[in-house]
Formats: sequence, structure tokens, C-alpha cells
Amino acid sequence: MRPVFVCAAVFVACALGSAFGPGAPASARDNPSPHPKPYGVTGEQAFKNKPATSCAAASCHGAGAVGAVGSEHSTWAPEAQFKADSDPHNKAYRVLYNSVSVEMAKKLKIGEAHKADLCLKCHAVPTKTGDDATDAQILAEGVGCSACHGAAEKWAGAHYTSDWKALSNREKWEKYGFVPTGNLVARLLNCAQCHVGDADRDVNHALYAAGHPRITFEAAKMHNTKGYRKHWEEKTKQPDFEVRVWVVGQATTLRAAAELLRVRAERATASDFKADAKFPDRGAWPEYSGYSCYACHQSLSDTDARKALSATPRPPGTPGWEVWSNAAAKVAAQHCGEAFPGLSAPSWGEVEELQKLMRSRKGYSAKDVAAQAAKAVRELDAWLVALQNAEDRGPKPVPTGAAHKLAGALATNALGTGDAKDLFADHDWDALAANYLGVAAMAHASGGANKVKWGGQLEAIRDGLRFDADPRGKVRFDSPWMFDLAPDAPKAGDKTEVKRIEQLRQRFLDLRAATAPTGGN
Amino acid sequence: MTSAHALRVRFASAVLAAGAIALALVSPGGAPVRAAQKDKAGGDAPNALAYLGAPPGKDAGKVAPGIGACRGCHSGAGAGQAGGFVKTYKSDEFCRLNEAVTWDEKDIHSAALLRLDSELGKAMEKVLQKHRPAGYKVSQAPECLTCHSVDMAPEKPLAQKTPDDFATAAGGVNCTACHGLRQTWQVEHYEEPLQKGQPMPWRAKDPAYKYSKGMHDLRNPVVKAKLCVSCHVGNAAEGKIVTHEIYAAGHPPLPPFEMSAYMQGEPRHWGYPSELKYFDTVKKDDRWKLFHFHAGADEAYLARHYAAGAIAAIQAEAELLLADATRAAKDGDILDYARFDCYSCHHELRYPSDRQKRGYDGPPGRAPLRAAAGVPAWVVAENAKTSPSAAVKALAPGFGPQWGKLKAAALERPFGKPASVQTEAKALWNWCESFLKEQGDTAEPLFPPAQAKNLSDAVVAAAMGREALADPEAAMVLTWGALALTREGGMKHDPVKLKVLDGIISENVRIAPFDRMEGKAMVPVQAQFPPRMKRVATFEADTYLPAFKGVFGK
Repeated sequence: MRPVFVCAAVFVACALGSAFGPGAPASARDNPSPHPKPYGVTGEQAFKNKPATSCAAASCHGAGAVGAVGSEHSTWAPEAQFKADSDPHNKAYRVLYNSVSVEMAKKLKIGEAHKADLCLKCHAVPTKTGDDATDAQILAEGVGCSACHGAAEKWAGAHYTSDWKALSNREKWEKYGFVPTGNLVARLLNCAQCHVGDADRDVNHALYAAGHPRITFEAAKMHNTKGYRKHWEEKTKQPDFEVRVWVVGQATTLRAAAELLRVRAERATASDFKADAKFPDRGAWPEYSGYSCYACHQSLSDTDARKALSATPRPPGTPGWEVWSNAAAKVAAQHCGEAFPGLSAPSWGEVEELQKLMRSRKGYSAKDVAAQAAKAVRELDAWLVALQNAEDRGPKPVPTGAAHKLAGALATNALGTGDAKDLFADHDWDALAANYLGVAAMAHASGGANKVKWGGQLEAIRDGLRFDADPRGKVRFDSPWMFDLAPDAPKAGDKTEVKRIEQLRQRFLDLRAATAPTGGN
Repeated sequence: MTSAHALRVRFASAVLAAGAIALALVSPGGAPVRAAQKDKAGGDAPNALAYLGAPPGKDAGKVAPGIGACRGCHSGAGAGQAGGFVKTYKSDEFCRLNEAVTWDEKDIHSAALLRLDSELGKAMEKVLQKHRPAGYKVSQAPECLTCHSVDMAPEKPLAQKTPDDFATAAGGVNCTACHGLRQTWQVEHYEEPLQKGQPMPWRAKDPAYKYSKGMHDLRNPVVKAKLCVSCHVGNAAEGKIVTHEIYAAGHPPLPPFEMSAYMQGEPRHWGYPSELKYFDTVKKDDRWKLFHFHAGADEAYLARHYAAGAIAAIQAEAELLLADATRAAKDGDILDYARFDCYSCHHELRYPSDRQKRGYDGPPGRAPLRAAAGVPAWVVAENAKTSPSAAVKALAPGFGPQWGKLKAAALERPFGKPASVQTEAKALWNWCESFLKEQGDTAEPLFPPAQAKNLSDAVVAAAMGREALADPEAAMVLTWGALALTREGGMKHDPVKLKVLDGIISENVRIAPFDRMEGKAMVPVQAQFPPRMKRVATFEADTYLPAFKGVFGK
């Protein structure tokens, strides 16, 4: 079966050792109250990396039994002959030598991709230890151990001692630079560095236009990507694990997106920002990689399809800001008590203001955006701190029926309210996909689509969202090119004359009905 | 002397004596500027541009925007009151005389107003209502009526216009929209001579006189081009702007303006001078002076129109850019997306990609200005370097660098740096104005056969060039031009090969179904555009280039 998302996962890697962290948001200067922040990578990191050889000893993480405890490195590591499953992070550096990377580097005029900081920040763990051979070895590992677990300078020698367990997660991070990946907030913030982006890892529109595949981050989906060889076992069992990953994933993804927006807006307004040819178009504004790709990248073959089916508050012709990260986040916020019993919904006013700003003409003013994005990041950080603390406390079990309830909330969220209740809340493919993926996570948490009553409706939506292949096999499409073609160009084998997007609307209506509280579980 | 004649003489004298025709050009920046025309007695030719975009002369009479009176004579040589004119003055050799019938039955300009009430109009209305004051109706909205109807107050700013400023009772874009709104000329142009046996007096009047009575000199390619582009590209000063919001609400994409193809493609209610017997009788010296044409052996008719159309289109685009950059600079906003190349953004994400193969002028991923507006004008300016007119030749080298500067200003930051766009758009507008003025005024044949052949070759070459191969709209507009100009040059295109090319990029501006009427029902817009847009959506250089070469024997 072809995966729905042909985009990001394979190419993107993450790295620590940032020298140019985003620093405190602008509003922190205006407001003296401390900015409560989750621990994990939301700012500068001060420690040095080490090569994975220090992890891969047979007695530590390199026992050679793929999948077993004590063989984490063996499970992650590249193999001479690829089997079906592997960890793509280990290939992240090597892809910088392929033809796509070579062409991209030419267009961007950044020299060779495998030597360019622009690429290496995510595709490897660029390090300056003082020893060139060690640095080269670390690079060649791609997205190696320290990319996700933290720069190992301090903690490598400490993490197997008896004192280590007595440290709190915050201490492990702040004093040793160790990322406590057992805490989902810390883990997903780490993923988001590359899979969403940050001040140092900015996959902007220039990179996309030069040929970079699209980056999208959906934490629940990525934890269950087919073919991904995990080198760990989740301690939390289903459905609790995935319900929480989805909620925390929404929070961290939106936080990273809002922070990236803030950084970009601030660069665009900073009088001391200097453009650097090594980072093409960094500092450009507006930055179009922050908007929904298919708002613009759609063929103009139809005059009426999308907006007639939509209750979107965006004025016509306004691309949606981070629709991918925004479309379902409010559901996660309102229902975070399902994932973490006892937790109440976070405040959401600043996020909503930011969303409103970004669909108005003022959303093209970098100054206004920088200020509001800073407020939204603070608000989201407060939520993340609450989620992180709940994780560390060891939350109560997710109540029975929570996955079903969230699925229903997401199906409802995809559609409008009031008079527009049978229209899309937002017709953008990203919005539909984000809601679909949330419901898919809930189905997966519940044992799979065949274990829930609404599995059939869910799979029908998945089929509708897929990007069709070129029937000639000549080009590869990375956009929903058949989304609203007129009825005289139906998909091969389609008997219906209904446009794909209209079909999808019907299927979301079906899903909403099937997941409604009275629909049973 | 009859009183009518006395009046006419008085008018004519007034014009001559005052020596000035108030003319209003749409100035860069938007406000109409009035300038006095040079004393005619001083020998200067009337400024061709004076006939356009301006309230006609003071004495031009009251506005009469209807078509009803026109139908009386222009419904066919054997119909209505035409018979007498045919018999006495051979009016059917001066014009076709069935103009109203053609317009009524075949010309979609006649459906322009009805479109606002169509299914698509209603759908757009529904989308726009959420973002407009209560009670919004597209059929009552000045922003729509300004192009879809006859604007009786073009000098009034859009914000002050009311539905009453539009001749909605008189159909869509009717006779008076292009030929002139004033009753004075409408009456005077069929007045008979005082003495039997004399020709129709109107025919002997020069265009400046006719303009003073409110009639536009549509025989002048420059005047015609400027008039067409005021809707087909836009005119900020007249409030004619299709914004990105309007497109997104459902307005079909405006195809690039290419006058020679538009003239060939539209069901013609006018005749080329070569088709109307009267023009064989016009003395050589009077051809340009009175009717702004040259005989076919002296000048290629469509080539001159192509040149005027291409420069007028880029000038209109420059005016829109200037107005929008001025707004953006004031509001701290970006320029409107609609001012940029549609298909730089509106393409599917596909690999391999023709755009990536072509490379980028600025940083990858910034939307450039429309190549479809700039490339034809660039070709015309390059061709002008070998123009037989010294004045045109002198202007020619100025275009390329200035167009380059404007393109760079648009790429300086995403969606243009307003201050730079303002400066460069203004400079380009000025260049275009000088060029059009020269082309509009000069009586010299600018496109003798050899020069027309050069232009035609250059358009064919551009259609196979870098810009066309990565931009379906540029490929389309250059293909249209190449077909029109090579046809005029006598090339016969193989119909089989042409059909192949047409399957890749629409050969015509209008492709079936495009007639206003099919049976008795209007063909909905939704049925008209997808065939063209689907070709644009699936455009690939790999299939286009061999097909184009096949048609042009390259």
C-alpha cells in the first residue's frame, strides 16, 4: 500500500549544538514575569557531541541483536544490505550526495550540499570537537545518537551511574544536556527542531523551490510509519500512548511553527539582520514555506469547486498560515484532559489572535506578526509545561472511550458549524489531512481501523486524500492534483462524476455521523 | 446654411480656434492629468492618445450609452434604415453594416453584463458576500460593472461610483463602450451632405474632430489597444482591477492580452481595410491621416496591431503595478498576488519540473512578474531596433533594461519591494507612453513586409525560448502571436500538426464551446474555461516544443 505522505520523513534529520538559538521572544522583554518553558530543546544548547562509537560498544547499545534491549545502536545503525525495515535517520547524511541534493545546491549556490551548514544542520550533527577525523565520523553517522538524545559530552559518562536515576528530567537536560525522550514533550520538541524547523533549521521557500521535499510533522503518524525500525519500546501501552502522542504532537508542532514564524518575522524587521549567501533567502518576508502549500500550488482548472464547499474564515485568495499545524490543534487543546486526566484546557486567546492576524492583510506586516507570534509561543509554552509535568507525574490512565471521543471531535472539527455545519470548516487539503490523521491515530490507538465502527469511513477519507500517480508514469506528483478536477476528467476507473473534494466532504459527513456519541464504540 | 450645419461649423471652428482639445491621460499614480494639446494650426498632428481614456471634448454632448439607435442602421445592409445609405453612399463598402447583429449573436461582449447573473456570478456573489457590506450583489457592484457594463463616468474614482453610473439598462459592453458614449457623434456620423452627390461629410473628418465629438479612433491600433487593455489587463484609475481576491472568489483567469490573436479570434463586426472596398479609394496621403491604415503592400496590418497591443498591455500592467505598489507602500503591505505570474505559484508540485530545469532569475521560489505580459513587449522592442522609423528606432534600446529593472524590483523581496516597483513601473510606463505616442502619431509604415517578417520570426523564436518552456502562459501568448503573424505573412499551417499543438496549448483565445448562444441558452463560463485551463495545468515543455516546431517547420 502506498503511504499517504510521500513527503518529509526520509530526508529530514535533526541536530543539536545550536550556536544561534532563537533567544527570548520579544514579549519577554516587555513583560517581566518569567516565561515558563518546558525543558528540552527550545533554546540554546551548550554541550558538545560525541561520535556514536562511544554508544555502540557490545556491552552497551551495540549487542547486535536487532530489536533487543542493549542493541539500540545495532537496531538504528545502517546495514550493509538493507532489509525491509530501517531507521531513515541513518541515511540523512548520505542523501546529501544524491542527484536531487546536488541539483538543489547548484540552484541555491551554496557549494556542495554535504558541506553546507544549511543542509548539515538537519542531515547530520555538525560538530567541532577540534579533531577533524572525529568530526567527519560524526557527520557520516547522519542523524546519530546525540541528535535526539542530546550532546553527549557530559552525560555519556554519567548516564549509567547509580546517581543518574536520582536526577529529575529537568536536571538531566539543564545540567547534562541529555534529552529525556521518555517524556513526550521533550521528545517531540526535539523532533520538531528539524521536522518543523527552528531558527537554525529553516527550510524556507527557496529550498523548496530548489527541490527539497515537503516537510510535515505529525507525531502519531511518524511513530508508526511503516518500515521505520524503532530502537525502543514504548513504556506506555495503547490506547494511552497514541492518544497522548497525538495531543502532545499537536501542541509541540504548533509551538514550533509559531516560534519559526516569530523568528522569521523578527529577522525580517531586525535592522541588524544581514543576509548571508550561505543561507539563501533567510530573512525574506513574507516567507511562503509558512503557508499551506496547496493553497497556491493548485492547478487553476476549475472556477468553483473549493470555496463553495467551505466555511473558511479566510478571505478569498488568502493562503492559510500553517494550516497543517493549526487545523486540529484546538481539538487537542480542548480535549487534553482526555489524554491527561485532570488537566484542563489551556488558554488559547493569543493563538487565536495570531491565526486571525495571519488571515488579514496585517499578516503581511512582519512587525505585527513578530509581536503576536511571541505571545502565542508563550501561551503554548505554558500548555507544554503543563503537559510535561503531567507526563513526569505519571498520568492517570486515559479513560475508556477517550479515543472515540477525540475521533468524533476531530470529524466534527473538519466540518463547519451552524448554517455551515455540512461544509468544510476549511477546504485546504492540509486541514482535511490533519483532521484525518488525528482520527487515524485514534483508530490506531484502539487497535486499528478494523477494530472501530468508523474504520470504513476513515479509510474512505484516506483514499480520497491520496495523491494520484501520473497514469503515464512520467512524473511524480507531490500535490493533490486530482483534488477538484472537473467531472469530465475522473480518476481512471471512477464511475462517479462527483469531484474528489465533494466526495471527501461526503465522507467526512459520514465519519462525523459514525463517530457521533450515539454512534457507539 | 441650416442651423445644424451652422452648429457643426461652429463646433469645428471652436476646436480649430481654441487649438486645444482637452485630453486626459491616465497618469502614473492614478490621477487623470489634463494637458492641452498643441495648437493644431501650429502644424502638429493631433496626439493620438488624446482620444482615449479621457472625457471627450467639452462639446461632445450628453451621454447616450445605448445600442438601440445603432441597430437601426447596423443590422445588415438590407435591414432597417440601412438601405438608403447603401444606395446613396455605398456605406456597406465603408463598414460591414451588420455590426449589431454580429454583436448580438456572436460577440461575448454582449453577454458581459448577463455573466454577472450567471451561475458563476451567483457563486462568486455568495463567496464575496462574507467579505462585503450587507446586500452585496455582483450585478450592482461598481467593482464588477466597471468592466462588465458601460462605465458612464470613467473619470470618477471607483469608491464614489454607484450602480447608476453604469449603463446597465443598455446591455453589456455595447457599441458605445468602445466607440464612444456621446450622443453628438452618434447623431452626426450619419448626417447627410447638404448637396446631393457629395460624399458623407463624416468620412472626410479627421480623427481629432471625431474625437471632439466623442468618438474613439478605433482605426488607430494604439488607440484600440489602449481601450482593449483597460479591461483585458486593467486600469487602476478607472477602477478596473481584477484582484487576487476576485480571482479566488471564482473569476476566470484573464488570458494574456494579444491583440492580433484577439482580432482574429473574435467574431468580427469590423472589416480590415483590405476587406472594405471604400479603402481602396482613399488617397494615399489620406490613408493615415483620416483612417490610420496603410495598404497591405506598404504595411502588415496585424503586425502593427501586435506591436501596439504588446506595448499597451505591458503599459497597463505597469500602471496597475504602480498603483498597487503605491497602496502597498502606504499600508506596509505586499503587492497583490494578482500582479504576478499566476503559474509560478499555481502549478502542481511535480518532479521533474520545467521551472527547476529553467532555473530562477532571483532566489528560487519568488514569483516573478508575468512573462506573458513582458516577453511579447520585449520582442516588439527588440524588433524596433531595426524599425524604418528613426524615432521608433531611437526608443527601442530603452525597453529591455527598464523591463529588467522592473522585474528585479518585483523579485527584490517576495511579491515585490513596493518602493522599487513604484520607481521602475513608472519609468516603464513612461517608456511605453513615448513608444505608443510615436507609433500612434507617425504616418510612416512601421511594418513593411521585411520588418513584419522579422517580427514574426522573433515571436516564433521567443515561443521556443527559455521563458516559454517553463511558463504555459508565456508559451500560450507567444503561440497565439506566432500563429497570427505567420498567417498574415502567408504561412499555411498543417491542420493535423496544428491540432496536435492545440491539444497542448490552446491555439485560440476562445476554444469551443465559446459562442454566446448554443440553442438559446448561454454557454456557462464553467464549460468554457476548463478546456484551456487543463492544457495550462498539464503543460510540459517536452511535449509542447516538438509540437510547436512541427507547426512552424522548425
